[in-house]
Amino acid sequence: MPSDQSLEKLSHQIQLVRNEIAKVIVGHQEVVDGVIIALLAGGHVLLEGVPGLGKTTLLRTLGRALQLRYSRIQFTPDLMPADIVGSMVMETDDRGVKNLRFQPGPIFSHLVLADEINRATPKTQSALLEAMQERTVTSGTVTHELEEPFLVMATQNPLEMEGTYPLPEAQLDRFLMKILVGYPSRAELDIIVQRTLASTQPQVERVVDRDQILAIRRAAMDVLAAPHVREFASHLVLATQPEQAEAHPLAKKYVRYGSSPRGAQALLQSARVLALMRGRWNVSIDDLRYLALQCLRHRLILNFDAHAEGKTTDALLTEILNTIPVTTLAQ
Amino acid sequence: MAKGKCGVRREEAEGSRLVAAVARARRRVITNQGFREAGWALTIALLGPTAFLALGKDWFAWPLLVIFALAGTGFAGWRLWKRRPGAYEISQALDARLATADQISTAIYFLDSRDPVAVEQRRRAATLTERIDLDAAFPFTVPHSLYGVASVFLLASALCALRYFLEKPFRVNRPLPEVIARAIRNDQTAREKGRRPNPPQEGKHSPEERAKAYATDNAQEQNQVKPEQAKDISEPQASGAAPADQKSDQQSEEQKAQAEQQDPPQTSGFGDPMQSAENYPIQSYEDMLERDGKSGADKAEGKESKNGNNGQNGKGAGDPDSNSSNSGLFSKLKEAMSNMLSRLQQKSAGDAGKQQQGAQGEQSAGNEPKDGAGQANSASNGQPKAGSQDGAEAQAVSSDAKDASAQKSSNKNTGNTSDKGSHSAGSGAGREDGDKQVLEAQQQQAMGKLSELYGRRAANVTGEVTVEAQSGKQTLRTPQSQKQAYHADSGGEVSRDEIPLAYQPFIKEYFNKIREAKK
Repeated sequence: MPSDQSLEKLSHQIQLVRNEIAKVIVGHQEVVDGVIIALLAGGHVLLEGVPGLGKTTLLRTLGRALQLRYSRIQFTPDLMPADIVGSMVMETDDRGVKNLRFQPGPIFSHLVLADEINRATPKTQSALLEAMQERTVTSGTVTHELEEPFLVMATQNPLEMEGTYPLPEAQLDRFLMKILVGYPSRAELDIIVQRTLASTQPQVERVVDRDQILAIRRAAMDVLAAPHVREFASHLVLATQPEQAEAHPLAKKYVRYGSSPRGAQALLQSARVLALMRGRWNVSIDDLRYLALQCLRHRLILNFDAHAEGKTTDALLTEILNTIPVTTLAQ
Repeated sequence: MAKGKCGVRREEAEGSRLVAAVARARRRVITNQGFREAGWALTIALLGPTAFLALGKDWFAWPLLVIFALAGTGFAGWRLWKRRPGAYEISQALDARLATADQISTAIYFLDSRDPVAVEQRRRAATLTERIDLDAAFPFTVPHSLYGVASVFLLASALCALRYFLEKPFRVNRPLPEVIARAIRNDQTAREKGRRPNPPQEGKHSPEERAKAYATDNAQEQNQVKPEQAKDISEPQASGAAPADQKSDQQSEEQKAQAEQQDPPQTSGFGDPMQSAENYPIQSYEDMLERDGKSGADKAEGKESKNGNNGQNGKGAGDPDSNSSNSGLFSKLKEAMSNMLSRLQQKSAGDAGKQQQGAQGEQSAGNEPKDGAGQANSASNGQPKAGSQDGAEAQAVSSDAKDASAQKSSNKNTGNTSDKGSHSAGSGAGREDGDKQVLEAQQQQAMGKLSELYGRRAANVTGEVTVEAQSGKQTLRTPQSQKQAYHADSGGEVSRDEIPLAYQPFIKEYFNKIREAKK
């Protein structure tokens, strides 16, 4: 039964996770919230940033703060799909009969950290597709289901492009969010240095278990979204598609492929969790605005003109967001 | 069960609180919209009197005013009904204006839902509405439609003023374009005759002489009045007539008799010439000119009356200021009209000059009225102020100068360049512009410079060329520009001067056409 108490309880649990992460990660509140939202919305998150900004540390800390199985995969060029999903191994039983047995890979966890995902070959990257979308792994003729919650947290480095394989669009689209990790501020950097020099490292405790996470997920699914809020999300996604009548002029000029319907789904799913985190039982347009860049920036493919003129998806989305009407009342 | 009923009652109470708050906001919005639409209704209703002022009673019937008012009201009512917002729209606007994170609109949308989450959300929204200020969300505003009302009102006032100046007293019988055309036509007639009213001079003419002059002018003018004008003039003018002074009444007896001798049937409708000259409404442009002269005379008389001769002029002494200001405004309009007409005249004179070029060319060559034209210009530039004798002399000179300038313009058309330095007499525009030939020469020189600039620009075309090349070993060359074949350094490719395959059909067709043309 939803009530003020239940809402406070849910918000409190989320706040506990944030506090534990804050013991290790300084600043980056937007990034931390994004990862938590992706976990609670049932999506996956891609973190992009230059080396040394704490991407891997953040995801590792999250794994420690939650009582969930956590695995880490370092993506390298020679990584094979079987190294991720698992493989069939020959096993001899007590009677000396040899059998093939499926040995689950590291993907059979609740939290999977795919570090430097763009260093693996597309073949290996594609091994994640089925797991990310359908939450299953097929090995031979057997399909294995992944246990909920399942969150793939991938990182990639935008600088070192030598020897990397950019993620295919199909896989990019499967990430609920793409979060850019920026540099810390001066005050944050001071705290980071101070913690590094400290003799004792902060201990992260497990504050939320699997059942609680699933309960928050269910509560998030009940959050209300009024039609005008849903229309805002649809309008935003349609405005990014250059071939649509509702397309924004900038999208027609600079976008080759706009956001897929998955973009609108991701936007509303994430907004529900954010509303819950903000202590509301309804999604607001402000929630959509807050999450629009994170949910849509990796779903837009810009054309040559945009690259030539130095346009970014963030700049285009910001301009498109500002032109979408909030209310139909002409006053 | 009782608890369930209680819960339902509480939910209903929360829902009704929410609905009441939104309804209050809706009323405010509709009130604002009502003001705005009322403004538009008033604008449309005011268009009726405006059209009435423009078209006059002949073309615009009185009932149309009612139709305009009804149309405006109907239009505004229809818009108000069509644009009236619903509760959900109002709640969206409330959320947007009060930054309540769409809680009110969501609660309004899920008002009938019994889902526990919806009920809880509605309860929170109802609590929120107790804390918000609806007046701040929808303040009463001044509608933009008032600008429309003000614009139409100004237009109507302007039309009203124009009518008042053109035909005193204020009448709305004829359409305004016709009134303006009539004024222009009368002005043209007066110019063709080269005749201006002889205003009485201050200190040189007695009131008796002035009255006589007016009577003579009136009588002569009545001779020129066309039948349709005469019909207009003979309309009753009693509404705007003001009593004349007694002295002028006595003087007008003689003038009346004199006028009747000249044209008894037409002048009979005016009664006392002096009285009519002073009081009857302006019937034509000539009358306006006379009135201008009269205003000057009145001004002069006003001065006299200030010196102690008040009784002589009666109420006429109080009017000169307003009359002079009116005439000052009107004189500008008059001058603009006369400029336009004189240009037309000039054209016709030019056509006539083509026929008479041989005979008049010699005369105009010897008749170089620079000074005379200058005087004429100065006389026609400034309005012939009544009460100044110079004005009358200038008018006389102006008529001579006009003839001279007409001849000159005809000479110009025939190619006689002897009078290059002279102005186009009769044309108001360009009188002070200097020599037009010099201006034309300057313009031609400027055009020459421009074309030179264009030529230079065309010779130095610069820009950027982007060449998209594929990866691999390549040699950049321009086809059809090389005369010799050579081995390129990279790859040992043979480069030949050959036509690209894609262009070969066009080149072939081109040369075929050339060969056919030669044959």
